[in-house]
Amino acid sequence: MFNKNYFKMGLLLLVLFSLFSYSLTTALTTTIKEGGSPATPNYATLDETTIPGATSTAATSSTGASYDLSQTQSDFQITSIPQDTNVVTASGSITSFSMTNALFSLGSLIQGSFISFTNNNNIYFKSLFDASTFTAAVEKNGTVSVAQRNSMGDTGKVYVNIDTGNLTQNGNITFIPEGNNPTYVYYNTTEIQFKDGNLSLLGETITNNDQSKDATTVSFNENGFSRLELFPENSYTNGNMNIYNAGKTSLILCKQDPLCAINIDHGEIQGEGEVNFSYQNQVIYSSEDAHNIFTLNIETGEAGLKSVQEGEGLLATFYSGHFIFQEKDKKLFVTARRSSSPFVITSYHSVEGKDISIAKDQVLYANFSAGLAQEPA
Amino acid sequence: MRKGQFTLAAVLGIFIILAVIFVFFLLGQSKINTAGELASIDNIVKANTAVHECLLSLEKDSLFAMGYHGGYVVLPYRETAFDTSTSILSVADMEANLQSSLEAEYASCAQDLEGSGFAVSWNRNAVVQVDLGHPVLITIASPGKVYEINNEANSMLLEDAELQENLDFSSLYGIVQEQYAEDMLIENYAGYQVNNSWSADYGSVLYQVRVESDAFVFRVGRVL
Repeated sequence: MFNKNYFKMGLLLLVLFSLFSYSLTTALTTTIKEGGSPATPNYATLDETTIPGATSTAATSSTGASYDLSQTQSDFQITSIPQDTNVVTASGSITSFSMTNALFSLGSLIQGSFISFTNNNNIYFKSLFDASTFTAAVEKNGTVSVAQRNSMGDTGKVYVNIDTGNLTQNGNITFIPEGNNPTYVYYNTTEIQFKDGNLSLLGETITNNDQSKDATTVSFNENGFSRLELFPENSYTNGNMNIYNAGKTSLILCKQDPLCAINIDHGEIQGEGEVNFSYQNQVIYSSEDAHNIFTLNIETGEAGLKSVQEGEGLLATFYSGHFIFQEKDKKLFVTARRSSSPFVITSYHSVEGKDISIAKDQVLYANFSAGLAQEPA
Repeated sequence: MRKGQFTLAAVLGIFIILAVIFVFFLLGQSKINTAGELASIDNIVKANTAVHECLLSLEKDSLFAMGYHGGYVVLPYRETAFDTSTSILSVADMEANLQSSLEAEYASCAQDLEGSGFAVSWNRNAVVQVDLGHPVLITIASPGKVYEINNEANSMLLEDAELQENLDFSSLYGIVQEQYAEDMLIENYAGYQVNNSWSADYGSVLYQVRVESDAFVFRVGRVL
């Protein structure tokens, strides 16, 4: 009797202990493959005893397991993590992602590949070599891959491959992926390289579309972009102004550097080559000749065209209000139409040296005038 | 009727009466002038001069009308948006238009002598010549004679009405031709003023080339 009772009690304790041990083991490991199936070998383990600062919370029926790595001091790798796991890093939580080959250092994500299970899902990480912070907002089933290289003897590099949503750096640089292989590379404190997408900073946007063979390199400072390469069929936007490269070669766009093909010096824009200028999404200047140098002062409305090698045929067309002007065969022509373009250009210096004045209803040059909406005489 | 309405009606009535009086005054002035002019034609020389000046004036007016209507003295079709031709005629066609218009109209100068006691006997073989060159020459040669109605023996041959306008029509025509395009050429033409304009519906354009030293203007329209 005595022996039987002690045997039953011992058996019960053994079962209870086994259950307790199982739950504890589950809570302290990441040996869980995608989809929440049982653990398999080949996965790294988060161990509070070997990763100082790491804490964990076991999964319950309503919430997934949570790992707080924000205070960790060691580098470690997580090879895979399931959907319902929340990982807290020094920059923010990573949740509703599947994660593979993730590397953490000092509580921050260094690299990894992620697939999001929800829309507008954020993943936070920091640069290894400076104070830059990144947020990748990924759509459902979207992927983002992060890789970094330290600046030890080489240029630091943050490499991001993202196919949906957007990537934000330091809260003001935004990359919106578009195309087959959207890539974003942050090199140091002044340079970004990107492909297949749009990059925006302080009201400026530069595109690199799918047809572009190479990545666009952008230099920037506290005032926005300072130098970039505008590939064919791509555009640069600054406020209401848009510059489109309609030519076959790439153009260097700079600020306060007249040696660049496109130079923006405060309110004055100078564009060399086959470029189109648009204002509020309407074309106001269209170049048809690679030798054109067009200058426009947005503040004064003064515009002018020079040609480093005067050619025959149509050189350029520009629009102001109801008027359309064409530089053709070394002559300047004007016509009018019912539809209207932005009234930005109010004076123009032609290739042949004519200074014309443009009002909303009249074009004036010396003893020539062309007016609008005249009633029958 | 309220007081205000009565006042308004009174003011309007006074205004209408004043307007009628003014119109009659103007008509009276006109009659006085015409009578005065006729009274001054009291001999054959003055009658001859009046007709000659009328012919010169007709030539000049016809030339200006031809420029205003783009080559026609009188538009042969209904008025266009700009009351001018909508195509450029050749110089020869314009000369022919001007010539035929003068041939049809010059006899109207006889009306200037009505009531004066003198009349005109027009020459059936009178010749009208137009040369739109530089200068512009318009001649009505051997137009006829002026005579006294009550004394036909008192007559005087009308001299040729020869108008010479210092107008380089060839150059002006060249400018018009250069301007006459959907895309206007922005150009500075010395001695000429170009004033082109689109209609309110942007459906047509009026090209105007004016001679700065003269009042002559050539106008031609274009339907877009």
